[in-house]
Amino acid sequence: MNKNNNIEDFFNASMEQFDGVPPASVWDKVEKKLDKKPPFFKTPLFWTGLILAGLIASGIYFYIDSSQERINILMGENEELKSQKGEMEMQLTECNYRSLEAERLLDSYSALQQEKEQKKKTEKKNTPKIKKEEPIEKSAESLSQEYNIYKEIHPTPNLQQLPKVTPQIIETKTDSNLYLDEDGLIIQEETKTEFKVFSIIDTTSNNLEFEVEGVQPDLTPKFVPKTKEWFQKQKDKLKKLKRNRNEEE
Amino acid sequence: MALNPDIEASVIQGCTKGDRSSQYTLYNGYKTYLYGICMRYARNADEAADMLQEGFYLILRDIGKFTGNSALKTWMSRVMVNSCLMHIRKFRKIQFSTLETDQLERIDCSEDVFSKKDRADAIIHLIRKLPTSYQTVFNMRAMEGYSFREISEQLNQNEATLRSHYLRARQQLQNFLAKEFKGNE
Repeated sequence: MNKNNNIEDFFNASMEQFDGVPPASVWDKVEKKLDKKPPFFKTPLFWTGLILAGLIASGIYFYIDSSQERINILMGENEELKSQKGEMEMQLTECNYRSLEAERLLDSYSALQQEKEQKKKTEKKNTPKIKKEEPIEKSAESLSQEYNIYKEIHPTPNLQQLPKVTPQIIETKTDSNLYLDEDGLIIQEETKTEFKVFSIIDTTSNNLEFEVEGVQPDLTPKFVPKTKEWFQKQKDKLKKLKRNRNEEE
Repeated sequence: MALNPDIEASVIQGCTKGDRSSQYTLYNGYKTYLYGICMRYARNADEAADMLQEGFYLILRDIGKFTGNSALKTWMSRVMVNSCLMHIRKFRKIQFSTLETDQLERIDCSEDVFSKKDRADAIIHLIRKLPTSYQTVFNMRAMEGYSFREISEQLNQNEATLRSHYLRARQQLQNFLAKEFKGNE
């Protein structure tokens, strides 16, 4: 009797002597299990097929999805083209209408032109031919007469009748002296004099044939007859008067 | 009974290829040893036979994964224990009640308690008397030599609980042995 052995060693030593034999059915069952084909879903073929099917299905799905997207794009484009077509048709009808209107206007214009031409023709036939007036040569005498007539109509203006020019003192300067020269320019002098500025009131009335050209040394306005064009106008007026007189005679 | 190392290599090769005679040779060589393991984990001989059948099928199925880093016998015993645990989880419920850790001393036992002929059967008989949780933990720790960490990983229990279960199992076995000893006297 060995009292030093503990329970674990005792149990292990005891189990080493185990000589039990399992029933024969165990091996038969193991063999059957080994012979048994694994279920189809556990075979590599099944998984390969499943993966392939998944790939094909996803491919089809994406193909359909992309084709549907393409169809949608085309449908959108089609709609856009339809709307563009409608707009173009509208523009075309408007153009047609305008061209018809233009044709109508052209016809009416040509008809009017024809009418005018016919009228002209008839007027030409009816109106007698007038000879052109020949230019009258003017002698020195006639010109002097004209001048006299002109004088009668437009007497030389009296200066007293003209509007007065009133000098006005605006500012007094002690350090410098300004005055106007013959040409009306302001000249500055060192002498201490008053600076005078004047204004001309209503010198360009329409009833006068003179205009103010400048200021004289005594600060009165300098009058000059109006421009050559004005004289030409007067001459034309005289001509007219003369012609009227002749006709009256 | 274990296979001769030379024969063992060819048998493994044959089993990997699915050769039936090699498979049977392997079965025949280790059936007693593996059956002994199953007998300790099972409640009766029928359950042990079922465990052996399931475990040996797994051995033959996965023999290609055997790398040769350990002895074939060790590898097969590991597979068989795992298969037994799977079977227990499937058909029985292992209940781990919270127990206080008893600091029991190691008690010596006499080899002369049983006659040599009946000793293994008597041991198996004693182990089967334990509750399932005690039986499993005692088998794994005392018979297979698993560490408590390994048992904890396998059974998904904390080490303290397993330790207490192991000590309780040990104490109970001690009591059984004492009773048997008295009976034999």
